[in-house]
Amino acid sequence: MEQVQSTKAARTPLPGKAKVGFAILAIYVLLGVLGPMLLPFDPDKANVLQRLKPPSSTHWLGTDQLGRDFLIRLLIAIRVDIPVALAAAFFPMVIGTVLGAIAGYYGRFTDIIVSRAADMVQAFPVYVFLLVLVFALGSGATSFIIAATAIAWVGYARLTRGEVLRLKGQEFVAAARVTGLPEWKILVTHVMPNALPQTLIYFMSDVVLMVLVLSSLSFLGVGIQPPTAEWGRMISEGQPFLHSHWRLAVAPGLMLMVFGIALSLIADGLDEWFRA
Amino acid sequence: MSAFLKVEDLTVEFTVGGTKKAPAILRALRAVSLDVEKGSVYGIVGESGCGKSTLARVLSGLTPATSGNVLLEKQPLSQARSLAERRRIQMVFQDPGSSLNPSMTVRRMLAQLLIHHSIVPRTQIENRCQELMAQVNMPVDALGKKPGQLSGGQRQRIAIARALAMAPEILIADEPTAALDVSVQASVLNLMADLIAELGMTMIFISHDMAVVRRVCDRVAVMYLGRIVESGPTEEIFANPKHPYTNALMNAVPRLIPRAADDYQMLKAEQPSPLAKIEGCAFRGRCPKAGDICMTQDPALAGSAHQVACHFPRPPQQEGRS
Amino acid sequence: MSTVLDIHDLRVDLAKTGGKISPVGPLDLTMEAGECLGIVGESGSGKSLTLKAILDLLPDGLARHAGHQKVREGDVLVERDPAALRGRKISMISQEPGAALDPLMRIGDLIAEIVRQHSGVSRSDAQLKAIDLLRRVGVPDPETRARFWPHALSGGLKQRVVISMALACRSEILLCDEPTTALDVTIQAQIVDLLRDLQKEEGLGLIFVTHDLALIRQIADRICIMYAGLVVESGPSTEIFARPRHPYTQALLAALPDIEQSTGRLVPIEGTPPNPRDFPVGCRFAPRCPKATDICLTSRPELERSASGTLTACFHAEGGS
Repeated sequence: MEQVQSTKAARTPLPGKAKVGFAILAIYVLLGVLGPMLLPFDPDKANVLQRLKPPSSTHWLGTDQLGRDFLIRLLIAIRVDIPVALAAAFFPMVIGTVLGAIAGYYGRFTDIIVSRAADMVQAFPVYVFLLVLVFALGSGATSFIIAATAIAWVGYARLTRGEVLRLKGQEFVAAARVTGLPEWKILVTHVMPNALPQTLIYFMSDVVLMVLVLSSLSFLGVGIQPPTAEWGRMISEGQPFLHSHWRLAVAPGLMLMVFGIALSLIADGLDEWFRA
Repeated sequence: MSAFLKVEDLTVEFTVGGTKKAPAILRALRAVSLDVEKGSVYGIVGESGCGKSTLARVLSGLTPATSGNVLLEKQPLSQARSLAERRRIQMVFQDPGSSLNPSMTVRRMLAQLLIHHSIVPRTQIENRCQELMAQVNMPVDALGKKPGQLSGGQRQRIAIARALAMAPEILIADEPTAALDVSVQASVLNLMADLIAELGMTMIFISHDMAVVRRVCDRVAVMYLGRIVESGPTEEIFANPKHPYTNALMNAVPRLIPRAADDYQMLKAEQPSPLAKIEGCAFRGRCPKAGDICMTQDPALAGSAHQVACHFPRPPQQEGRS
Repeated sequence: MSTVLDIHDLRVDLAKTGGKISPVGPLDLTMEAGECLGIVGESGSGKSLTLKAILDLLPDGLARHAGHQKVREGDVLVERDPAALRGRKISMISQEPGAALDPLMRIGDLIAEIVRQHSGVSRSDAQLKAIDLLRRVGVPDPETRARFWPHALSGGLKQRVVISMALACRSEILLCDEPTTALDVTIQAQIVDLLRDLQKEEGLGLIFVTHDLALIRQIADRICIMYAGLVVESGPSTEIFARPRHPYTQALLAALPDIEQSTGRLVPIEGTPPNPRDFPVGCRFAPRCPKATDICLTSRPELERSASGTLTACFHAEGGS
């Protein structure tokens, strides 16, 4: 009887960059959850007498143009930006992946419908389409998520369809057919586990994108409404003060940037890991 | 002779382009018929384009036939195989690197099949998986591995275990050792020989490797451009090939042990395209013996135990081969 | 003097390791005029890399080193850079002939271009020579075929075209890297026949790499058997097959089915070849060898000449089966 020697390690370790990304993400979550609890300020209540104070021992990052503690607003924005962005990427992922898988695997009629629907959505310039939807649905987190879902599912659908098309021609799919498994079972248990890694990586980048889009919309005045703290809106509100109190615009921008870097590191790291 | 598996006039044609009025048709199989006895090993040999892989795919239910029948114990098998029909005929593919799901552990793959076909109760699944590993000479810890962690020979054993999981009556082996190294081929072939002897399985062994077929098979059919040109008991076919193609094929194989006459009767030219419509015998362009009748009449398979489709079959040789 | 190629201490290293990990070598290769040298081994033996190293056509990440590499020019052996030999004195054909053919050029033009590069004749003369070469390699109806695009050719025809390109270079040595592995056996027979014919008629030297022992017996005058990057046995073809002395050679022969035999159990070789990163200190075959003793695990055997002229690298070599 032969000895089974692994010709490859059971699990190559997760690349360092992904670990760094996850660490940053964890810090954000911690700050977002705990930070506002530890600071004794109300992030939404204006206090005009205290406006534009520089950093001090009471207000560690000073106050903003309406006298609210700046640090707590930065941190509490995490509770808005991250969950909304996650939701805005999650729902398109679910819908798009399912539609793409069915279109790719069963082909013909379902493929025609899904592909043409995708074409129609993609025919519109993204931001125009988004703004139209948001105007129709009203502003706020929920409408944003609905609008994002209506547009972003296309990316996932195309990605999954491509992967499924590639995989369904592989011999292990034919082999599964010979063993008597029904087509749907083959799709779900054999094809999808091989197609999902790419989707996961795309999801990570998509969350970054959603944060940026949300921030852009809030910056433009639609999206999250005041007085709720949100990075994009904070950048917009800090703009008039760029020469005097530049931290009001730059700090939320930095928060956004580091968050985006963290997710990109995770996406890159996962990509390397799956390829190994 | 009661045929366990019977193939009747099987024809498979694919449309590969052309126009609606003049479609380009690829004739992969042309009216192929054969009988396989229960418990025997039936070899199918031929070169690329002869249709042996298509035959394997039709028998295993992957490709539908354009016309003709496949009968198992006198019952025709339906185009869309039922679960019970699927269980009875299983297949081992050529390249274990691509015929095993890279993201599934061996245990999961086997368990899924054992459950789907209700072969053993859930409590017995782990036991049955371990039994299957023992049957293919693999250690039990292979169950937790994914194909990427196994060598080529080990993967092929897993592929065999997958086929055995359903306790099939017929095993189709489509070039099972072609993708393996020489030293590993031997162990997989030995395994298959042992399994045939132990389990009394009927096997259809498809290969381009004549040396392997001679050892493993009881009967052999030689295919050329979608037709069977000769079939019969293995030793007969190898010792006394009647069809000029069979003879050329045998002669073209390099030998380890030198023969008395070590030159070979080489075939000139190449196969015609399988898209071409051929009048008469498909082999006539390359046949050293082609006569006038070969240009117009396609010879039918004739004979009893040893059949040949040729207008000018070779007479039996005395000692050795010329 | 009839030696046309003399390579000493050829090695292929993993570039990043600076010579510590060598998938191939060190090994020596010599070739006489007009002979066919066969290199046989399983996958992972390094046989293909050896061939590529001769012309320094190694993939990225691998580097070539040689003590010396000399070819015959006139009456003397001269050290030559591999790049200077490519497409001139030494040509190469491989398993995928299609990869060597520019898909955007008709094959007649491809060959004519090479003819012009090597002999500077006029365009029309080069075209005629191309048709001549196609006829020489057995392409039927060469005038018509010269106008074909590569994709319209079968595998066997493509291989013939690539061989004719080597002839157009007026090469003296042709390196053949498994050229018939992807071909049907009847077409393989034709190509082998063509190569032997060229060997006899034009004095073309061949270094033929394959995993098929029976094929090498048919075509090669001398054989090298490679295992884990080293030559373990070499000598005249008839000698090696009649009296294999190295345990690996013997094991290979015992594992192979021959078409002439219908019975007898095949004997597999247990275990797998070592990874270049984990080459054992002593004899590389020792972990799988039925005759291995302590010395085999600690020191590597050198090639030693036997009475019959074969070189064997083994502490326990004997007159074989």
